[in-house]
Amino acid sequence: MRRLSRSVLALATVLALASTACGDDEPTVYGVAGSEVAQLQGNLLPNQILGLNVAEEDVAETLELIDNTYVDQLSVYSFRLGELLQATLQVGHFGADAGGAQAVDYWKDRRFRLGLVNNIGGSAPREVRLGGNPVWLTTGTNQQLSIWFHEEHFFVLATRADFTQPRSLLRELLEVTP
Amino acid sequence: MNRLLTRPLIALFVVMGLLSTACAGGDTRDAEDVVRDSIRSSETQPRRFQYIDETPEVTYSVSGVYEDDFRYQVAFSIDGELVYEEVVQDDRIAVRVHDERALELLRRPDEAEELEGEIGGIVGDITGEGTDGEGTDGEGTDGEGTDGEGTGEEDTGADTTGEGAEDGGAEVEAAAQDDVTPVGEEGELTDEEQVEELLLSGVWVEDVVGAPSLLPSATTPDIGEDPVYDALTVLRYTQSAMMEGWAVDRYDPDSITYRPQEDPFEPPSAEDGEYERWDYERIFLPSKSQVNESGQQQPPSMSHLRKMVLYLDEDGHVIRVEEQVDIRRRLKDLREKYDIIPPEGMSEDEQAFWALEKINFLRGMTGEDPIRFRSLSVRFDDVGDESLTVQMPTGTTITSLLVLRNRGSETGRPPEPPEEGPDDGDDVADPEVAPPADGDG
Repeated sequence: MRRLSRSVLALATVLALASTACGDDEPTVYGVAGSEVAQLQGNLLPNQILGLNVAEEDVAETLELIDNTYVDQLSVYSFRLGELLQATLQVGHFGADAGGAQAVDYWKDRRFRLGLVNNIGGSAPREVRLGGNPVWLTTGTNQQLSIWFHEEHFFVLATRADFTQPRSLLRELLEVTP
Repeated sequence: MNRLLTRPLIALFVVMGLLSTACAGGDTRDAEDVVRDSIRSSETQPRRFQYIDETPEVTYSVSGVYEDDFRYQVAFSIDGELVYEEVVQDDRIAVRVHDERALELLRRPDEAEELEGEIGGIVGDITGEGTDGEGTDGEGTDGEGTDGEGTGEEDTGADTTGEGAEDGGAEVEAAAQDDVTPVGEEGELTDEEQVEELLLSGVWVEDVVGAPSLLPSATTPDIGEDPVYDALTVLRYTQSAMMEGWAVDRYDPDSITYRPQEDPFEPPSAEDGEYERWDYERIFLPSKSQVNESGQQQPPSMSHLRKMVLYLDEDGHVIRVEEQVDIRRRLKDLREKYDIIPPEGMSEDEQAFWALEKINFLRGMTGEDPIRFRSLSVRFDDVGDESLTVQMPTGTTITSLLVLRNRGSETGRPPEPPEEGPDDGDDVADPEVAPPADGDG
């Protein structure tokens, strides 16, 4: 496992805000302390995809800085051609809400998902459908972002703007089911 | 062992933190919401389509299968004659040119040509030349100007299943890389002319990483420049048209405001699965007092002249779109508000053409694109049929398809992975300053 450092400090800042979700009619979500956020279990990805070397990154130290977050599990993967980073994939698992045994699966709520998606990237996300799955596409600085959900997991794929196979990589990763 | 993922990850994580605004508004839905939701839900459905864009000069027909946003195949015809096929599967694109007219239309304009076209159009407008509807856009980058007779016949002969499917093409991984002919490895067929020569030979040509983007961008072609793009994005176009219009109303021939003499479209046909029809109301022509920032009177736009209707099926999916640019019924307004008064003795059709030339002259003066005198008809079949699939043709020749507008990559293939070296554990390069992934820009 590789270890991330400076860049994930930003992660701490934003995850900490995650618990202030919605209004009164929205489900109350009990946050998870960053120190309690675990890595996803099992090997989600093969060592290579489309000729890219895949490695899981270590974000544990950064997660410890977060007080409260939606996610109770999180893993970040890198995709490199040689040494050059081509893409990253972030896979998160939404934590349970306050309902206990009567918990509402808030992550299934389309409004919740759209609210999350609409705050990602530098342009208005556009919904497309790939193999029956809704995927939201947007852009960041010199990168393309793809966001999708699978049950209580969410995925954010960031690819370099000049990466030549973003769609093929996305198609491969849509098959990933934690 | 620290490795820096740097900026891409930073941006990624920043957005996660903005979850707090993940709430939505109320549930009130008006007519526009109904139509917008129908368009949106239809955009994401697999479907077959038949797109016909008819102008007095030429008729473009595009038919095909849309599996999803990254997988589709089309057959493009001009005046009923198949001229071009295209299959896209994720990053891959394969094309086959059947007629030089397709290449003339879809050839990527270089910057100098585009600039020359724009200047030419403006000069033509100012001098009064080129007001015959062909020169207002300079070099004809609006996609018109082919010498077809505009028969208006639908292209029913195009193979909407794609010949690639007949070839038994397999999935991405199995696209028989052994079965393709690499081009350009020894300096052959590497410049644009040679690629064009290859395309005109009628073989399937593939760019493995050159699929076009259908998302709106700075390079999005104007209507008519790329009928294939227009056909694939027509539902987005209908949504834009709705936003530009005054309102949408459900078709109701019993309504006190319904005017059958101004309705050129058919009522919904239950036999064809048309459950309801929604009509776009166009906005009134600007009054003489309405001026732009330069103090000039606002010229008419498509939203003033367009008549458009959508037909929905029982599930609320759009299954048919009809649009007409209607000037005949605006002649009186154009006379009163723009002093556009056709010469005496003209038929109504001739007056409409004459008026359109004047409108485009006004639009050219304010730097706006000319309006095309067209009718659009689109039909969608098998909407939501998950069994619709697209397969790449086999036996393709691989090269760059950058010669085509909005398509192609520099090399036509993905970069080779670098030779493995010892991993010293250093930080990876910053993607924003590192050389491009394919090594050749």
